[in-house]
Amino acid sequence: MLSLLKVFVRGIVVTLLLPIILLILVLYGVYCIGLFIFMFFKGVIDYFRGKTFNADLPEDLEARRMLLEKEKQEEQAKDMLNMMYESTMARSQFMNPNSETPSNSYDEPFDEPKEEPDFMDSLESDEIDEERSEEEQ
Amino acid sequence: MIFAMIKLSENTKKALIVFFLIFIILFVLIGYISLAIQGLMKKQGSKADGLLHDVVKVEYFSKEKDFRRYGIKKNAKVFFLEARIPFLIVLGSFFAYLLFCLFSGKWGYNPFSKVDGFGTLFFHYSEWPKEKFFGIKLISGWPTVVSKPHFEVKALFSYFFVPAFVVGIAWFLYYTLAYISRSLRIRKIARSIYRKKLVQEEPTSLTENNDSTT
Repeated sequence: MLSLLKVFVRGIVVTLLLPIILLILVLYGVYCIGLFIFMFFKGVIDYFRGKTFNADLPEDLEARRMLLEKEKQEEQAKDMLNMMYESTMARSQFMNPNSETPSNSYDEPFDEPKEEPDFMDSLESDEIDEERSEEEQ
Repeated sequence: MIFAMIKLSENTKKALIVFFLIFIILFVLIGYISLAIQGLMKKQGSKADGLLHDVVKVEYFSKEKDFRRYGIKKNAKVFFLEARIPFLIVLGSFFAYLLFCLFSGKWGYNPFSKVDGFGTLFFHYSEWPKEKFFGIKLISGWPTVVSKPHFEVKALFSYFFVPAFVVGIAWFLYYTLAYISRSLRIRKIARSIYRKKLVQEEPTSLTENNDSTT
């Protein structure tokens, strides 16, 4: 109900501001027509200069190149780390040929800790009754 | 005092209730339409995120001003590419109108006219009949139908021109709205990136200044 009231109030506010909103939209529309004509002539000039007209700016191309370079550097760094790890492992194997390679403890089966048996579980049903009667006395 | 003197009949009360309900429904409807337009603008504005993604990710611009300038340029290019078709429709229909005027010799032809324009496809009513009651002119009945929708050969051109023109204008305004939405979004992104950085970079210097003053 409250949300409906909010929408109702919003409706009244929008109706009151409608002339201003429409005026702004129309002014922007006129500005956009001018912008469109300007972009059209700019595109024509660029075309005769041998440039293709698309949404990409020189900054976009530069940023894309930088992004690709960054990704390549990250990949190279990852490869380098892998190589270093492998060479270290090989060296340690060479120095201590009898030592086993460290196994990953996460691969081993995980034994859940056994719970200690409850005292009440070890008793027979008759014995439980006896225990209870003793406690009551 | 005045309200106590007014005695309303049952029919008038019912009419008032209906009028009141229509009033509420109308404003609720306008409210929902405005919410829908706001949602549409948000959706249109989110396109700016994709446009600016690469530049933001590599931190290409160090100043907010440069980033905004780039955003305005990019937005204008995208707008031009988007609004080509509606603009061509409007321009084409305008040239068609000029050619029609040239060949028919009817300069100043109104394509929305009720007689030989698009208006022939709609109902037209006479003025509200009025009578004088105690010196005041009041509405005394319903208006009569003057013309019903009908096909007119003379208006054939307007049947093609008006829909094309109206669709073109509406479509162009839709992209204008998208342009406004993206502009607002770019401004918001610029603010969130660069103004935040300013605060993050110099907290120590600010605290140092505070310490020195105290």
